[in-house]
Amino acid sequence: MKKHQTIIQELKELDIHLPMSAMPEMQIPENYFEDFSTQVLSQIKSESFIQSLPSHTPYQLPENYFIQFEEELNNQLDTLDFEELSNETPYSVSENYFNDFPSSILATIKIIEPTYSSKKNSKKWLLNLSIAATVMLFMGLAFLLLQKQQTSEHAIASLEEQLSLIPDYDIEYYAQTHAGELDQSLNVMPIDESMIDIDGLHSEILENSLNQLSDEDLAAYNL
Amino acid sequence: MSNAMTAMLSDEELIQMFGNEATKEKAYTMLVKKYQERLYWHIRRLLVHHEDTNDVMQNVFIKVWRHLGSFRQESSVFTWLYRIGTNESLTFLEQQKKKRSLSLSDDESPLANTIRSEKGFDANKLEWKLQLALQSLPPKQRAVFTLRYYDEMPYEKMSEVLDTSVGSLKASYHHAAKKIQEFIVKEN
Repeated sequence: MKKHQTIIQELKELDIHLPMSAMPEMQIPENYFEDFSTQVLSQIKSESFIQSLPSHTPYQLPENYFIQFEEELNNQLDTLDFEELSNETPYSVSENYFNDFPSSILATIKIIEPTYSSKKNSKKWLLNLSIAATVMLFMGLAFLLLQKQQTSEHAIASLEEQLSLIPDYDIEYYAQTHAGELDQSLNVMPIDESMIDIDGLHSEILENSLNQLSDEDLAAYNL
Repeated sequence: MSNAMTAMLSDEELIQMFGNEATKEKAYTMLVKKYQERLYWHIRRLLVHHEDTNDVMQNVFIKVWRHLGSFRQESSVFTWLYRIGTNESLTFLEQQKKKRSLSLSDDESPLANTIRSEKGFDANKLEWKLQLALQSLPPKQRAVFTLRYYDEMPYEKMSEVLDTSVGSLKASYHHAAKKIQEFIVKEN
Protein backbone atom coordinates (compact mmCIF):
# COMPACT_ATOMS: atom_id res chain seq x y z
CA MET A 1 0.00 0.00 0.00
CA LYS A 2 2.87 2.32 0.74
CA LYS A 3 4.28 1.80 -2.74
CA HIS A 4 0.84 2.39 -4.25
CA GLN A 5 0.60 5.77 -2.50
CA THR A 6 4.08 6.64 -3.74
CA ILE A 7 3.09 5.88 -7.35
CA ILE A 8 -0.05 7.98 -7.03
CA GLN A 9 2.05 10.81 -5.65
CA GLU A 10 4.50 10.41 -8.52
CA LEU A 11 1.68 10.55 -11.06
CA LYS A 12 0.29 13.65 -9.37
CA GLU A 13 3.67 15.30 -9.63
CA LEU A 14 3.68 14.46 -13.33
CA ASP A 15 0.25 16.12 -13.56
CA ILE A 16 -1.42 12.80 -14.41
CA HIS A 17 -4.70 12.42 -12.58
CA LEU A 18 -5.97 8.89 -12.73
CA PRO A 19 -9.23 7.94 -11.07
CA MET A 20 -8.79 5.72 -8.06
CA SER A 21 -10.90 3.02 -9.68
CA ALA A 22 -8.14 2.60 -12.33
CA MET A 23 -5.93 1.13 -9.65
CA PRO A 24 -8.07 -1.28 -7.62
CA GLU A 25 -6.70 -3.25 -4.73
CA MET A 26 -6.04 -6.88 -5.67
CA GLN A 27 -8.49 -9.20 -4.01
CA ILE A 28 -7.66 -12.72 -2.88
CA PRO A 29 -10.15 -15.34 -1.76
CA GLU A 30 -10.72 -15.57 1.95
CA ASN A 31 -8.34 -17.96 3.71
CA TYR A 32 -6.45 -18.46 0.46
CA PHE A 33 -3.06 -18.86 2.09
CA GLU A 34 -4.42 -21.00 4.90
CA ASP A 35 -5.99 -23.46 2.44
CA PHE A 36 -3.26 -23.32 -0.20
CA SER A 37 -1.18 -26.30 1.03
CA THR A 38 -4.32 -28.45 1.35
CA GLN A 39 -5.33 -27.64 -2.21
CA VAL A 40 -1.90 -28.49 -3.61
CA LEU A 41 -1.83 -31.79 -1.77
CA SER A 42 -5.28 -32.66 -3.06
CA GLN A 43 -4.16 -31.94 -6.64
CA ILE A 44 -1.11 -34.19 -6.22
CA LYS A 45 -3.32 -36.98 -4.97
CA SER A 46 -5.74 -36.67 -7.90
CA GLU A 47 -2.86 -36.68 -10.40
CA SER A 48 -1.52 -39.85 -8.79
CA PHE A 49 -4.93 -41.37 -9.14
CA ILE A 50 -5.13 -40.53 -12.86
CA GLN A 51 -1.69 -42.00 -13.40
CA SER A 52 -2.81 -45.23 -11.79
CA LEU A 53 -5.65 -45.61 -14.34
CA PRO A 54 -5.19 -48.07 -17.28
CA SER A 55 -3.78 -46.37 -20.38
CA HIS A 56 -5.54 -48.46 -23.05
CA THR A 57 -8.82 -47.36 -24.72
CA PRO A 58 -11.74 -49.74 -24.38
CA TYR A 59 -13.22 -49.01 -27.83
CA GLN A 60 -13.42 -51.74 -30.44
CA LEU A 61 -12.29 -51.27 -34.03
CA PRO A 62 -13.89 -52.90 -37.06
CA GLU A 63 -11.79 -55.73 -38.40
CA ASN A 64 -9.04 -54.68 -40.86
CA TYR A 65 -10.03 -51.06 -40.41
CA PHE A 66 -6.58 -49.61 -41.06
CA ILE A 67 -5.99 -51.72 -44.15
CA GLN A 68 -9.34 -50.64 -45.55
CA PHE A 69 -8.78 -47.01 -44.51
CA GLU A 70 -5.68 -46.78 -46.62
CA GLU A 71 -7.53 -48.22 -49.61
CA GLU A 72 -10.47 -45.85 -49.09
CA LEU A 73 -8.20 -42.86 -48.77
CA ASN A 74 -6.39 -43.80 -51.96
CA ASN A 75 -9.71 -44.17 -53.75
CA GLN A 76 -10.77 -40.71 -52.58
CA LEU A 77 -7.49 -39.21 -53.69
CA ASP A 78 -7.92 -40.85 -57.07
CA THR A 79 -11.31 -39.23 -57.45
CA LEU A 80 -9.68 -35.79 -57.16
CA ASP A 81 -8.04 -35.59 -60.51
CA PHE A 82 -7.21 -31.99 -61.35
CA GLU A 83 -7.32 -32.85 -65.02
CA GLU A 84 -10.97 -33.85 -64.69
CA LEU A 85 -11.79 -30.53 -63.09
CA SER A 86 -13.00 -27.77 -65.32
CA ASN A 87 -10.67 -24.84 -65.23
CA GLU A 88 -13.62 -22.49 -65.50
CA THR A 89 -14.37 -20.47 -62.42
CA PRO A 90 -17.96 -20.97 -61.27
CA TYR A 91 -18.51 -17.29 -60.42
CA SER A 92 -20.86 -15.21 -62.52
CA VAL A 93 -20.59 -11.62 -63.65
CA SER A 94 -23.35 -9.17 -64.53
CA GLU A 95 -24.44 -8.92 -68.12
CA ASN A 96 -22.66 -6.24 -70.19
CA TYR A 97 -20.04 -5.75 -67.45
CA PHE A 98 -17.20 -6.23 -69.90
CA ASN A 99 -18.93 -4.18 -72.62
CA ASP A 100 -19.36 -1.24 -70.28
CA PHE A 101 -16.06 -1.50 -68.43
CA PRO A 102 -13.84 0.41 -70.93
CA SER A 103 -16.20 3.41 -71.08
CA SER A 104 -16.72 3.42 -67.30
CA ILE A 105 -12.97 3.37 -66.63
CA LEU A 106 -12.42 6.22 -69.13
CA ALA A 107 -15.13 8.23 -67.39
CA THR A 108 -13.41 7.61 -64.04
CA ILE A 109 -10.05 8.69 -65.48
CA LYS A 110 -11.56 11.95 -66.76
CA ILE A 111 -12.86 12.67 -63.26
CA ILE A 112 -9.76 11.79 -61.28
CA GLU A 113 -7.13 12.99 -63.77
CA PRO A 114 -7.50 16.79 -63.86
CA THR A 115 -4.80 17.10 -66.52
CA TYR A 116 -6.87 15.04 -68.89
CA SER A 117 -9.81 17.02 -70.24
CA SER A 118 -10.39 19.07 -73.38
CA LYS A 119 -10.42 22.33 -71.37
CA LYS A 120 -7.14 21.47 -69.74
CA ASN A 121 -5.79 20.35 -73.07
CA SER A 122 -6.46 23.78 -74.56
CA LYS A 123 -4.75 25.36 -71.53
CA LYS A 124 -1.85 23.01 -72.03
CA TRP A 125 -1.72 23.96 -75.70
CA LEU A 126 -1.61 27.68 -74.77
CA LEU A 127 1.10 27.00 -72.21
CA ASN A 128 3.16 25.11 -74.78
CA LEU A 129 2.68 27.95 -77.27
CA SER A 130 3.81 30.57 -74.77
CA ILE A 131 6.86 28.49 -73.83
CA ALA A 132 7.73 28.11 -77.50
CA ALA A 133 7.32 31.88 -78.08
CA THR A 134 9.57 32.70 -75.11
CA VAL A 135 12.23 30.29 -76.33
CA MET A 136 12.04 31.83 -79.82
CA LEU A 137 12.38 35.36 -78.35
CA PHE A 138 15.43 34.39 -76.32
CA MET A 139 17.00 32.66 -79.29
CA GLY A 140 16.41 35.77 -81.46
CA LEU A 141 17.94 38.10 -78.86
CA ALA A 142 20.91 35.80 -78.41
CA PHE A 143 21.44 35.72 -82.18
CA LEU A 144 21.34 39.54 -82.44
CA LEU A 145 23.76 40.00 -79.54
CA LEU A 146 26.14 37.47 -81.01
CA GLN A 147 26.01 39.15 -84.40
CA LYS A 148 26.69 42.60 -82.85
CA GLN A 149 29.63 41.27 -80.87
CA GLN A 150 31.06 39.64 -83.96
CA THR A 151 30.73 42.94 -85.94
CA SER A 152 32.56 45.03 -83.30
CA GLU A 153 35.26 42.37 -82.91
CA HIS A 154 35.67 42.39 -86.70
CA ALA A 155 35.91 46.25 -86.78
CA ILE A 156 38.63 46.33 -84.05
CA ALA A 157 40.60 43.64 -85.82
CA SER A 158 40.32 45.52 -89.09
CA LEU A 159 41.49 48.86 -87.44
CA GLU A 160 44.48 47.16 -85.81
CA GLU A 161 45.38 45.64 -89.15
CA GLN A 162 45.21 49.03 -90.91
CA LEU A 163 47.25 50.79 -88.17
CA SER A 164 49.97 48.20 -88.42
CA LEU A 165 50.42 49.18 -92.08
CA ILE A 166 51.22 52.86 -91.18
CA PRO A 167 55.01 53.49 -90.83
CA ASP A 168 56.29 54.67 -87.38
CA TYR A 169 57.63 58.03 -88.71
CA ASP A 170 54.17 58.91 -90.09
CA ILE A 171 52.67 58.29 -86.63
CA GLU A 172 55.40 60.48 -84.98
CA TYR A 173 54.82 63.30 -87.52
CA TYR A 174 51.05 63.13 -86.87
CA ALA A 175 51.60 63.29 -83.13
CA GLN A 176 53.82 66.36 -83.38
CA THR A 177 51.53 68.27 -85.74
CA HIS A 178 48.35 67.37 -83.80
CA ALA A 179 49.75 67.54 -80.22
CA GLY A 180 47.19 70.20 -79.11
CA GLU A 181 44.28 68.19 -80.40
CA LEU A 182 45.59 65.05 -78.70
CA ASP A 183 46.03 66.85 -75.33
CA GLN A 184 42.56 68.26 -75.62
CA SER A 185 41.04 64.91 -76.45
CA LEU A 186 42.85 63.33 -73.49
CA ASN A 187 41.75 66.31 -71.28
CA VAL A 188 45.35 67.08 -70.21
CA MET A 189 45.87 70.63 -68.87
CA PRO A 190 49.15 72.49 -69.75
CA ILE A 191 51.44 72.96 -66.66
CA ASP A 192 52.61 76.41 -65.52
CA GLU A 193 56.09 75.79 -63.95
CA SER A 194 56.05 79.08 -62.01
CA MET A 195 53.17 77.76 -59.93
CA ILE A 196 55.20 74.79 -58.55
CA ASP A 197 57.01 75.19 -55.14
CA ILE A 198 60.15 73.11 -55.75
CA ASP A 199 61.68 73.82 -52.28
CA GLY A 200 58.49 72.87 -50.53
CA LEU A 201 58.37 69.56 -52.43
CA HIS A 202 62.00 68.82 -51.45
CA SER A 203 61.34 69.40 -47.73
CA GLU A 204 58.19 67.24 -47.87
CA ILE A 205 60.09 64.33 -49.45
CA LEU A 206 62.91 64.72 -46.84
CA GLU A 207 60.45 64.77 -43.96
CA ASN A 208 58.76 61.58 -45.22
CA SER A 209 62.14 59.83 -45.51
CA LEU A 210 63.16 60.84 -41.95
CA ASN A 211 59.84 59.63 -40.56
CA GLN A 212 60.56 56.18 -41.97
CA LEU A 213 63.89 55.93 -40.05
CA SER A 214 63.85 54.06 -36.74
CA ASP A 215 65.40 55.31 -33.44
CA GLU A 216 68.23 52.79 -33.80
CA ASP A 217 69.01 54.11 -37.30
CA LEU A 218 69.16 57.66 -35.94
CA ALA A 219 71.39 56.59 -33.01
CA ALA A 220 73.75 54.83 -35.41
CA TYR A 221 73.85 57.97 -37.58
CA ASN A 222 74.71 60.20 -34.56
CA LEU A 223 77.62 57.96 -33.60
CA MET B 1 -12.80 0.13 -85.68
CA SER B 2 -14.11 -3.44 -85.80
CA ASN B 3 -13.38 -6.11 -83.20
CA ALA B 4 -11.45 -8.08 -85.80
CA MET B 5 -9.21 -5.09 -86.44
CA THR B 6 -8.79 -4.52 -82.70
CA ALA B 7 -7.62 -8.08 -82.30
CA MET B 8 -5.15 -7.60 -85.12
CA LEU B 9 -3.37 -4.68 -83.49
CA SER B 10 -0.31 -5.66 -81.53
CA ASP B 11 0.56 -4.27 -78.10
CA GLU B 12 3.40 -2.27 -79.68
CA GLU B 13 0.98 -0.66 -82.12
CA LEU B 14 -1.45 0.13 -79.31
CA ILE B 15 1.34 1.72 -77.24
CA GLN B 16 2.35 3.78 -80.26
CA MET B 17 -1.25 4.91 -80.73
CA PHE B 18 -1.47 5.71 -77.03
CA GLY B 19 1.50 8.06 -77.43
CA ASN B 20 -0.46 10.13 -79.93
CA GLU B 21 -2.96 12.49 -78.29
CA ALA B 22 -5.44 12.06 -81.14
CA THR B 23 -5.59 8.27 -80.83
CA LYS B 24 -4.84 7.93 -77.11
CA GLU B 25 -8.36 7.14 -75.92
CA LYS B 26 -9.03 4.74 -78.78
CA ALA B 27 -5.81 2.82 -78.10
CA TYR B 28 -6.56 2.69 -74.39
CA THR B 29 -10.09 1.38 -74.95
CA MET B 30 -8.73 -1.32 -77.27
CA LEU B 31 -6.14 -2.35 -74.71
CA VAL B 32 -8.74 -2.54 -71.94
CA LYS B 33 -11.02 -4.63 -74.15
CA LYS B 34 -8.15 -6.92 -75.08
CA TYR B 35 -7.16 -7.83 -71.53
CA GLN B 36 -10.08 -6.99 -69.24
CA GLU B 37 -11.70 -10.44 -69.11
CA ARG B 38 -8.56 -12.45 -68.43
CA LEU B 39 -7.46 -10.00 -65.77
CA TYR B 40 -10.92 -9.81 -64.23
CA TRP B 41 -11.10 -13.58 -63.67
CA HIS B 42 -7.59 -13.70 -62.26
CA ILE B 43 -8.47 -11.00 -59.72
CA ARG B 44 -11.93 -12.45 -59.01
CA ARG B 45 -10.41 -15.84 -58.10
CA LEU B 46 -8.24 -14.07 -55.55
CA LEU B 47 -10.84 -11.69 -54.13
CA VAL B 48 -14.07 -13.65 -54.78
CA HIS B 49 -16.33 -10.61 -54.35
CA HIS B 50 -17.34 -8.88 -57.58
CA GLU B 51 -17.39 -5.40 -56.03
CA ASP B 52 -13.88 -5.81 -54.64
CA THR B 53 -12.72 -7.19 -57.99
CA ASN B 54 -14.24 -4.21 -59.79
CA ASP B 55 -12.48 -1.78 -57.42
CA VAL B 56 -9.13 -3.43 -58.02
CA MET B 57 -9.77 -3.57 -61.80
CA GLN B 58 -10.38 0.18 -61.78
CA ASN B 59 -7.15 0.78 -59.84
CA VAL B 60 -5.20 -1.43 -62.24
CA PHE B 61 -6.44 0.29 -65.38
CA ILE B 62 -6.01 3.77 -63.90
CA LYS B 63 -2.38 2.82 -63.28
CA VAL B 64 -2.18 1.58 -66.85
CA TRP B 65 -3.47 4.94 -68.10
CA ARG B 66 -0.89 6.78 -66.02
CA HIS B 67 2.11 4.64 -66.85
CA LEU B 68 1.54 3.12 -70.29
CA GLY B 69 3.27 6.11 -71.90
CA SER B 70 6.47 5.31 -70.02
CA PHE B 71 6.14 1.51 -70.32
CA ARG B 72 9.59 0.30 -71.39
CA GLN B 73 8.39 -2.94 -73.02
CA GLU B 74 11.02 -5.03 -71.21
CA SER B 75 8.18 -7.47 -70.58
CA SER B 76 4.92 -7.95 -72.46
CA VAL B 77 1.91 -5.75 -71.68
CA PHE B 78 0.06 -8.90 -70.63
CA THR B 79 2.72 -9.78 -68.02
CA TRP B 80 2.84 -6.17 -66.86
CA LEU B 81 -0.95 -6.08 -66.40
CA TYR B 82 -0.93 -9.36 -64.46
CA ARG B 83 1.85 -8.01 -62.28
CA ILE B 84 -0.10 -4.87 -61.41
CA GLY B 85 -3.32 -6.87 -60.98
CA THR B 86 -1.73 -9.44 -58.67
CA ASN B 87 0.06 -6.81 -56.57
CA GLU B 88 -3.08 -4.72 -56.25
CA SER B 89 -5.10 -7.80 -55.23
CA LEU B 90 -2.53 -8.92 -52.64
CA THR B 91 -2.38 -5.39 -51.23
CA PHE B 92 -6.17 -5.33 -51.07
CA LEU B 93 -6.26 -8.65 -49.20
CA GLU B 94 -3.58 -7.41 -46.81
CA GLN B 95 -5.63 -4.27 -46.09
CA GLN B 96 -8.74 -6.35 -45.49
CA LYS B 97 -6.81 -8.55 -43.08
CA LYS B 98 -5.59 -5.49 -41.16
CA LYS B 99 -9.12 -4.09 -40.99
CA ARG B 100 -10.36 -7.40 -39.63
CA SER B 101 -7.65 -7.53 -36.98
CA LEU B 102 -8.46 -3.93 -35.97
CA SER B 103 -12.14 -4.70 -35.64
CA LEU B 104 -11.20 -7.79 -33.57
CA SER B 105 -13.34 -9.93 -35.83
CA ASP B 106 -12.89 -13.64 -35.20
CA ASP B 107 -14.07 -14.46 -38.71
CA GLU B 108 -11.01 -16.37 -39.95
CA SER B 109 -12.12 -16.93 -43.51
CA PRO B 110 -14.72 -14.35 -44.55
CA LEU B 111 -14.19 -15.22 -48.22
CA ALA B 112 -15.43 -18.77 -47.62
CA ASN B 113 -18.75 -17.27 -46.47
CA THR B 114 -18.82 -15.05 -49.55
CA ILE B 115 -18.34 -18.15 -51.74
CA ARG B 116 -21.21 -19.91 -50.00
CA SER B 117 -23.46 -16.92 -50.71
CA GLU B 118 -22.47 -16.81 -54.39
CA LYS B 119 -25.14 -17.34 -57.01
CA GLY B 120 -25.31 -21.01 -58.05
CA PHE B 121 -23.20 -22.23 -55.15
CA ASP B 122 -23.41 -26.00 -54.75
CA ALA B 123 -21.44 -27.50 -51.90
CA ASN B 124 -21.44 -30.88 -53.64
CA LYS B 125 -19.85 -29.66 -56.84
CA LEU B 126 -16.13 -30.04 -57.08
CA GLU B 127 -15.53 -26.64 -58.72
CA TRP B 128 -17.10 -24.94 -55.69
CA LYS B 129 -15.14 -27.13 -53.30
CA LEU B 130 -12.03 -26.06 -55.15
CA GLN B 131 -12.94 -22.39 -54.61
CA LEU B 132 -13.37 -23.04 -50.91
CA ALA B 133 -10.08 -24.92 -50.81
CA LEU B 134 -8.34 -21.98 -52.50
CA GLN B 135 -9.39 -19.73 -49.63
CA SER B 136 -7.53 -21.96 -47.19
CA LEU B 137 -4.25 -21.01 -48.90
CA PRO B 138 -2.12 -17.98 -48.04
CA PRO B 139 -2.82 -15.19 -50.59
CA LYS B 140 0.46 -15.43 -52.51
CA GLN B 141 0.24 -19.21 -52.75
CA ARG B 142 -3.32 -18.77 -53.98
CA ALA B 143 -2.04 -16.42 -56.68
CA VAL B 144 0.60 -18.98 -57.70
CA PHE B 145 -1.99 -21.74 -57.93
CA THR B 146 -4.57 -19.72 -59.88
CA LEU B 147 -2.00 -18.37 -62.35
CA ARG B 148 -0.78 -21.88 -63.06
CA TYR B 149 -4.02 -23.83 -62.82
CA TYR B 150 -6.54 -21.47 -64.41
CA ASP B 151 -4.41 -19.20 -66.58
CA GLU B 152 -1.96 -21.99 -67.45
CA MET B 153 0.82 -19.47 -67.27
CA PRO B 154 4.37 -20.79 -67.80
CA TYR B 155 6.58 -20.64 -64.72
CA GLU B 156 8.94 -18.20 -66.47
CA LYS B 157 6.11 -15.72 -66.97
CA MET B 158 4.83 -16.32 -63.45
CA SER B 159 8.33 -15.50 -62.26
CA GLU B 160 8.05 -12.08 -63.94
CA VAL B 161 4.54 -11.48 -62.61
CA LEU B 162 5.26 -12.46 -59.00
CA ASP B 163 8.95 -11.49 -58.92
CA THR B 164 9.84 -14.93 -57.53
CA SER B 165 12.26 -17.57 -58.79
CA VAL B 166 10.94 -20.44 -60.93
CA GLY B 167 12.12 -22.98 -58.32
CA SER B 168 10.18 -21.27 -55.52
CA LEU B 169 7.08 -21.06 -57.70
CA LYS B 170 7.21 -24.78 -58.51
CA ALA B 171 7.57 -25.62 -54.82
CA SER B 172 4.77 -23.21 -53.92
CA TYR B 173 2.46 -24.68 -56.56
CA HIS B 174 3.23 -28.20 -55.35
CA HIS B 175 2.40 -27.27 -51.74
CA ALA B 176 -0.77 -25.48 -52.83
CA ALA B 177 -2.01 -28.47 -54.85
CA LYS B 178 -1.31 -30.79 -51.94
CA LYS B 179 -3.18 -28.56 -49.48
CA ILE B 180 -6.14 -28.31 -51.87
CA GLN B 181 -6.25 -32.07 -52.24
CA GLU B 182 -6.18 -32.55 -48.47
CA PHE B 183 -8.89 -29.92 -48.01
CA ILE B 184 -11.23 -31.51 -50.54
CA VAL B 185 -10.67 -35.03 -49.25
CA LYS B 186 -11.38 -33.81 -45.72
CA GLU B 187 -14.58 -32.11 -46.89
CA ASN B 188 -15.73 -35.32 -48.58
